Amino acid sequence: MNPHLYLVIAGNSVSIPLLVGLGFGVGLLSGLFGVGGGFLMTPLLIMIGIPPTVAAATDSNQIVAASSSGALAHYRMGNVDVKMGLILLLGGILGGTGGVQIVRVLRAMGNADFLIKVTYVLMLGFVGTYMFIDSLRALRGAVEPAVRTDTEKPSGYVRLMEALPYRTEFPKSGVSMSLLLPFLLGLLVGVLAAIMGVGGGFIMVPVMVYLLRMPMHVVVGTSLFNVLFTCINVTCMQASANHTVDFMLAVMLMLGSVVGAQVGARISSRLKADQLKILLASLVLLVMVKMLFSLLLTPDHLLAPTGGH
Amino acid sequence: MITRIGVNLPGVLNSLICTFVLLLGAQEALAGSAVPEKAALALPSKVTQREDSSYLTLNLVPHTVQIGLFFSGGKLSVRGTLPAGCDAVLIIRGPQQEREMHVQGKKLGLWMTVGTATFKNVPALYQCLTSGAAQEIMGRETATAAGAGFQRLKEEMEVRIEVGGVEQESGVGRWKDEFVEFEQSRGLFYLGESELEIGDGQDGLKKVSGEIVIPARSPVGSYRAVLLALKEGLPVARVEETLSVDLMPPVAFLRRLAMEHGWTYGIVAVIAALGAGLGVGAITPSKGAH
Repeated sequence: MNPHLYLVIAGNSVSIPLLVGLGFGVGLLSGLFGVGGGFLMTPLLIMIGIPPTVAAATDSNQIVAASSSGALAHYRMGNVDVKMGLILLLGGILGGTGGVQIVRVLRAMGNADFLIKVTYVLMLGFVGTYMFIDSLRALRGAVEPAVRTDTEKPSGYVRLMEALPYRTEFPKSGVSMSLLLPFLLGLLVGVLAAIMGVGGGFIMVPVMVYLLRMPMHVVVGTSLFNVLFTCINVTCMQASANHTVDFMLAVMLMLGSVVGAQVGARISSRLKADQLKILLASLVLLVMVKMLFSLLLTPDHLLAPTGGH
Repeated sequence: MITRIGVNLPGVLNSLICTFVLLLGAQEALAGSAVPEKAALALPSKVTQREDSSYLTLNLVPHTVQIGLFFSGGKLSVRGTLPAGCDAVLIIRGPQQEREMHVQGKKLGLWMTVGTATFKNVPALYQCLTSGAAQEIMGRETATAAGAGFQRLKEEMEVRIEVGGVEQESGVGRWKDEFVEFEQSRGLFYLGESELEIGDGQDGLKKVSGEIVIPARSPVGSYRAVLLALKEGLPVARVEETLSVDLMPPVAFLRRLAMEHGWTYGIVAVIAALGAGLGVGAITPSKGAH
């Protein structure tokens, strides 16, 4: 017995248990690491026969459910820095809008696909490797990565942080910095997310940890808060402009993801920050390797459906 | 639904008629009016035969494929009759369409999208079932002329390949092959040799039966089914049926909402997602802060 659901926008039929299972798995990761999971879910949906444009747009819709569930769970645990989240969100929205224009120019030049894929692999590789090595060292007790001692000579980045105007306190995160810093970093993540065609959670998390020096558990909750609003915006835009949101597909994914996000948030609260980071780093590296293989190995077909990257 | 009812004649007489129409070979018998889409189903002048469909019947059950919320593909039962001594070929074609696809190629040693391919005049679905090995029951020329097999599809296709904004003039045939292979991998193009069964019938006629699978990704529209009777490798009669693939009301409503009221659809989708997420979050007990 394997009931199927007909997806009217995707124009295909997919096993219901498979969709709910995928939703649960990605929701779990969402609650665990504070990522939307788009960089994982979209390729998985394409693999099971969903057209790329529908996969990407619908994924945004289901991420709204998973991230709202996860964000609420983290908010109740006091892990959401709303002030920081709103500044990052503002930068992210502006950066995303600019990133879309950059993609448009790249497409006109005919090199968009190459640059997008190379950016993807390099970003995933860099972020994943850095986080993995850093967390491994921390777990071995060599260095406490996110916290630097006062006796160390401040780096150029720290000096820049201190020199920027509009300094303010972020009590929830326990940090003090210029408003411009999270705004500019949000802008950068927004540009990269638009170029790569993802929500940006997996870039935002390392940015919060390493550049904004936020504690890991606040990072996860705040990232989910950001992802939630970004995906609400994307869902409405995709539904109105491209008609590519498949509601029934999203509902099936949501059924699994909202439960998965709750489970993930609870597991997250029991793990150490470095354990979380090393798990996320492994996941990011896994996706990078998969993407690298897809770039190196001859595809089954030299034709592919249009849409997506 | 039976479109043409077979005439009650003894088997010997059927065979004689079948041979007779084969020998006639009158080109004028293939009038365009009997061929709904000449490009797909006309027979070449060399092999044209007087059409005599009196003994050929085709019945597809169900006649309409209804796509509901739990649709996972439809199975059509093929039933019909044909004169004794004849082979059978069944061709199902979906609505004609234009398809745009990405072309994959290597750039600096990496595989990626390097251009676009536009395929015009291709059916959304093509399925061909035969009662024997295609090479044995009809020659290549007959098969191509009758639209049985993929060769005719490739001949009908118009292809435009653009790589880096430049139209490619050469290698079009290779891309047609690629397209057919791609659609075969998705189950939309299918050639089922020896999948039509011919058995004993009544009144000297033979029964023909088989099963057609309409994949879930088949688009809505009107489909044509043509059953050809072949004698000694040449078509001697043809009968045609139409079938439709339709959306059931709830599915049609969702589609209309998505396509015609995108903003409303998007907002409903967001509210539903927030409801699900926050609802589950609200009923799940909090464990407190770290």
